[in-house]
Amino acid sequence: MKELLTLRDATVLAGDKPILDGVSIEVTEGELIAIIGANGSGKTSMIRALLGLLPLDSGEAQVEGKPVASLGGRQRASMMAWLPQEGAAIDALLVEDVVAASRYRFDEAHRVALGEAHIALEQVGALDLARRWMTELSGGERQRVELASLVAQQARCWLLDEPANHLDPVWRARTLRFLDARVSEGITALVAIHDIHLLGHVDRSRTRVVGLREGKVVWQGRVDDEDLGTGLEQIHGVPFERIESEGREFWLPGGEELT
Amino acid sequence: MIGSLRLLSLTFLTIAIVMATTWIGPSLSGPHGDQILTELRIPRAIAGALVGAVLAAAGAVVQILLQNPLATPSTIGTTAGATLGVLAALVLGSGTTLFGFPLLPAAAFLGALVVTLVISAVASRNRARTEDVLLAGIALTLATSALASALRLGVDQITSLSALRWSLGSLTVIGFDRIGMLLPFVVITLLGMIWLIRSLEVMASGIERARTRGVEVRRVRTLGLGLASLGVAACVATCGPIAFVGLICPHIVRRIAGAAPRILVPGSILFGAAFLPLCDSVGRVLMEHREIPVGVITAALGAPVLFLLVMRRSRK
Repeated sequence: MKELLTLRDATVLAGDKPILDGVSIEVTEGELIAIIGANGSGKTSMIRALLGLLPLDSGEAQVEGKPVASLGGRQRASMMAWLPQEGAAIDALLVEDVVAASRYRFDEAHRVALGEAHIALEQVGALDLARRWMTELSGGERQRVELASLVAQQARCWLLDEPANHLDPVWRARTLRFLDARVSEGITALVAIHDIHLLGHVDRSRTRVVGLREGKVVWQGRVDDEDLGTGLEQIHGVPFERIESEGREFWLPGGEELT
Repeated sequence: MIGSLRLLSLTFLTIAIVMATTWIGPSLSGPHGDQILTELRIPRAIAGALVGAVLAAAGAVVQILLQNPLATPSTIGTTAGATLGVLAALVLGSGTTLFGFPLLPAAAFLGALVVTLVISAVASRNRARTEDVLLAGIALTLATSALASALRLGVDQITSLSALRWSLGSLTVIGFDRIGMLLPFVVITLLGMIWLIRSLEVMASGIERARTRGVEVRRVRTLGLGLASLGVAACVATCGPIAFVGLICPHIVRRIAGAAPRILVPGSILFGAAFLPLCDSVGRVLMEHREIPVGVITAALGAPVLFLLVMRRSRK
């Protein structure tokens, strides 16, 4: 398996406080990496560093062994597509135009890009939104537009920053299922999430968990690992209790540190 | 692009409106009617169309580049910077050349560019809010206006008075020779902006998103703001600062046809080209025996529009 994305000893400072503190990670083709961590643990910074949006103070961000900064814009766009945490600027834009815009790297006529946008929208079950204005969409609808934009860009690796935030439970599950299906088709994905339970919707065998705390990788492993409980404690700083019910497991934070 | 047929018909409509404005105003049936029409009103309408197109397009492009519907050449200080440049050139003597290049337009461009780049730096800082950009614009506008007023004190009264008249923004005394000087700048600005549309289209839904989709954001931003400064400076050098065209026109086009840059930019060009000559001819008929400079008309229309927009945004 080939390494697609690499962070090596990545450190980013805000003043003298590190946001990322010597983070190393390798993303191999075809895997799904879940980055787990509390708010402010560095998930977003890690994704932005991989994308080349956040310059490193030391260390390296690489795409297929080449420094991400050395790639041209279009080349980078062919490797990585991004679903940011904050939604698209809300303006009087048509959904189909927003999705078509993600095909910038292809240098094609607008008509062709629109056709591809429609195909992508159809794939996420949102073709009916094509002629709607971005301003009048609900949270779940906007999420489908975001996913369609990822699809339309046709990059090899997807980086999703908290795609489950602000969504109702059904749409959270759908988002993760959709992601899992794309990974099964060959997309490589890296997804930042709060909630370990969301991984109940993906194929665990190709899913790797990377735990971040205060800008450091404190745990790496798989969802099925025996020591996931220890991992969660290291990530969140409080002990977690495992509860099993009808063949599914749940993790609840506990201990005195909560109060 | 908008469907080419629709674009073509809208272009013809715009030209028709511009030509129609030459008949608005005191009757042309007098002894010098033909002369007034061909030597005064027609060049005036053409200049108005060119200036209106550039100001409106600059407004649309700056709004997209700074991700802020209130950021336009007149609200962020580009116009004020150009004005200061022109006044500085007038004080030094309008015929002065700099490295063989006429000083006046060069000074206007320099003033516009410096102010625009400062604002761009403010806007591209992390988490810069709408208010920050506008406040920086207001601060720079006030600072450059103060300098401009100080400069006016340094010249004799006649120059000072003509500088004051010029600073109201007027199309009154423009002949075909000045249009000829303006035209190349208009063509460069508008063609450049149309060429940027593909990148702007991606930037409309977010600057960082655009970067991850392959747009060379810094280059597009520098080019776009440079073109806006060039265009606005050329207009200011020709007819003085005409405020708010870059705010009103894109806003109305956005309301009618949406904010997609491939519609907003050409739409604003056409709308601005019709809007300014119309405002100018309104200024011709509002008062008997006296003309109101077009800059006064656009300011009177634009100030309330800006006020309403700010109110609406702060409610959100």
